[in-house]
Amino acid sequence: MRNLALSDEILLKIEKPARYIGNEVNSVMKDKEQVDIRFAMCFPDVYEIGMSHLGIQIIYDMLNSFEDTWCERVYSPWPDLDAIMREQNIPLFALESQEPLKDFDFLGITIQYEMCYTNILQVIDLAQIPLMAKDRTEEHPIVIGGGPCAYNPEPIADFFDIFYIGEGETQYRNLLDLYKECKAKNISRTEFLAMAAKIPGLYVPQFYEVSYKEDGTIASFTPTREDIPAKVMKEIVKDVTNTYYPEKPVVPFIKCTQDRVVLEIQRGCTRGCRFCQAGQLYRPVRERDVEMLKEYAVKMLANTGHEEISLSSLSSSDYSQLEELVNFLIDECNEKKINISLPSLRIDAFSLDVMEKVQDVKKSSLTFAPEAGSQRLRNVINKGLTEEVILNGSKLAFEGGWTRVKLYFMLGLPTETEEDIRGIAELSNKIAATFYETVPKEKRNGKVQIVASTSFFIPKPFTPFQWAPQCTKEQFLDKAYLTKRSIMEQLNQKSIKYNWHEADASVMEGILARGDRKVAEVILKAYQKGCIYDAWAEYYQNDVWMQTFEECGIDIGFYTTRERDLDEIFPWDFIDCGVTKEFLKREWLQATKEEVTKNCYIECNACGAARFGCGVCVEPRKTKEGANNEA
Amino acid sequence: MSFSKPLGIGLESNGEYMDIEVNSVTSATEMLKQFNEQMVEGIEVLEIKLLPEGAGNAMASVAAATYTIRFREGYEPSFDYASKLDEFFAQDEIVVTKQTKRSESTFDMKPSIYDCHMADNGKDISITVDCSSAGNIKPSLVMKAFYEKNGAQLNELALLVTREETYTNLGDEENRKLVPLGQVGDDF
Ligand code: SF4
Ligand code: SF4
Repeated sequence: MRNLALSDEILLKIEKPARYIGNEVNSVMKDKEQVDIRFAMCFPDVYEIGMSHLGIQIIYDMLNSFEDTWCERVYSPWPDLDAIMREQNIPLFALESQEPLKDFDFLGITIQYEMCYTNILQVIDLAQIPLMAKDRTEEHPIVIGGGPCAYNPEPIADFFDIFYIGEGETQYRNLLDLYKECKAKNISRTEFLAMAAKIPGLYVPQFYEVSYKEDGTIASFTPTREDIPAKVMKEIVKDVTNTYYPEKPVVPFIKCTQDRVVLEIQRGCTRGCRFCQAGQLYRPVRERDVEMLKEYAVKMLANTGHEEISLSSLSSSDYSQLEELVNFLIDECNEKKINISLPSLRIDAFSLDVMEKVQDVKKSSLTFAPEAGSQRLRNVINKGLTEEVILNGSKLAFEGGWTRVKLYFMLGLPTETEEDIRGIAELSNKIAATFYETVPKEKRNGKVQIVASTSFFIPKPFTPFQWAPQCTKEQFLDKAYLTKRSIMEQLNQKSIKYNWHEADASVMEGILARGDRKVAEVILKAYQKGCIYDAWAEYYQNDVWMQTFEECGIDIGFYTTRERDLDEIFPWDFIDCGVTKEFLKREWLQATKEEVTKNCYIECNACGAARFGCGVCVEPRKTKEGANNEA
Repeated sequence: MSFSKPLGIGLESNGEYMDIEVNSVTSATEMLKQFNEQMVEGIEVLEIKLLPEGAGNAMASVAAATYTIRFREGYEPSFDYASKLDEFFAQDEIVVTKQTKRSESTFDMKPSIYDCHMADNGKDISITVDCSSAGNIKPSLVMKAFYEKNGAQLNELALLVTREETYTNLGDEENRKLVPLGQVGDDF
């Protein structure tokens, strides 16, 4: 048996010890003497969350397909173990070998949401690696960050040696080759990093210098060495069919958030909702070949024994081969008694038919994400979903026996008025009324249930709303109360349930999302005061954070409520994500004029992503039904 | 697929059983090989038996289990446990308190301990206790009573527990006939 890093005494004391023992089905064991590179891949949150993430599984599979590399996994220890490790000075270890991360060559960290920043520090710290990149020596692993938050890495730039901007499948091999070469030639860490900075998609923060204007905005952002590029272009997989995808994903011993086979059917989204970061970052949309997906579905189910499969993408209804894929899965899975979990689909005859086949109509619900309560505001955010489409979809579904509807909205969107907020209540009411009009009394089994949820709008980099001011906590809460009051005034209010998000955490997320290097000090201090697991409401300490901003003399309004000048240099402007700043500016102005922009299937709006020469930009425009502008 | 009484966290076992229902079977040897090819380190399928059609859920009929209890190095009891064990088991009743979320109750555990003796190596303790869903006895509870009888306090960490076998009862309440679950089915 392998030796475990934690003694039985500790394992018996902590919650869910299976989080830390590795050895799961399909986890990869290699002989460490036979590999050149030890890579630890980290998701900085608890095991059950991290294990559910597809991106890591893809990179894990890819890196382990390289004979010279052994990639292992690591997640954030839960606070119970965190305390024990600090007390007993136990270094954080990788699950497979159970060996300390500090002896690895690379520590890769995927950064999926802003609220995990203190967990990143927790992982680096428990690994006994210096928190600041500048304090690391030849002895320490190279700490590399990736994922969507790497598109504004500045608040955490001090803690990373390298950021990988874009999709992971493309440049790791080059980076590893460079690393091996430098090691063989005894080239120093700094020189290795300088060479890495020239690999496309890689950003090495220590070679860039920022100067600020008096008002705190950026005056200049320049490389400190001549041969290091001033702009970093995102990496993208052009052919998403012939690429890495895990045939044998790791099967956890304990129940995880995502306990199923996940098939990513396409990358990107054409819809261009103006608040949505993913919609811009992953342009252009690229579909995987349906035959490849079928083959992987069969193999992955056989290799894991999972009893459920789900489809994943930003906007699955747009996948051109959806019908064929779903029908194939229904046939395959029925026979083997495997569940299919559907992504949220545009409600039409096809999707209702499919939903009826794969789920229990009585228990499942319809989902709409109008995001805003009025057509005016939906035009501002470029969400093509109309009231008519929602009501027609609901009517169809009510006729088919559905009684539950989930609605997702955002509060605090640019230009929002009280009228728009009341629209949320009115739309919810109209859907309930549609039920009572559609379904005759004798056929009703119970009441209709409408659940309206609102989150608070947080402006994100690389969206047309990156210039927009964010609301204060008080404004957010006022809006939530107004929503609640308006719902109470509706005729069908008894059928409508309303949920809203935490306002504190939304403000915090906004600061981190559009933060600059000055925020790093606050993150470090907050961590040192004990902030970890900020993404978990029960651990989030808003007062500690706010106090720390004050101590550091940083005004949070600078990052949140301030309206940005059209020509301001943003901390993330040195990254080229394909979509140009010109396009985003155009979209921002269109938004203020309440004008919509058509999606890529209908017309190209020259967003800049055509430079990659792939996906929807080069394929013939589709004429299928789904190609209208609704989302 | 159903499991017999699931093993607690931190326990080892040589006698776990599960029932599975399949469309078709080959031979036990063939299936054993196929299973073990898929098992992770530390888990091995030891034998496979065929239950008669309509046998129902054999796992629900678990009646008793035998455990070997070893002491972790440095955590051995302070009293001479090997010589005290018989005396402990010979008592007419062994009353313990059971903590539930809501209340505390006392009961006599003696009728549920079917056997208790020193293992051949003179160091380990072997016990056979009720393991049914209605009256399951945790080995640590027996040990707690043993310690307390000898004026000592049990630290649960001291125990290294291995479940050796799980039984069904082919007799009745009065005259138990404990048979390992694996002997119920047929070879194939
Ligand atoms: S449909 Fe809109 S919100 Fe959804 S992924 Fe696409 S752009 Fe983003
Ligand atoms: S270049 Fe045109 S088609 Fe391509 S992603 Fe941008 S808007 Fe869409």
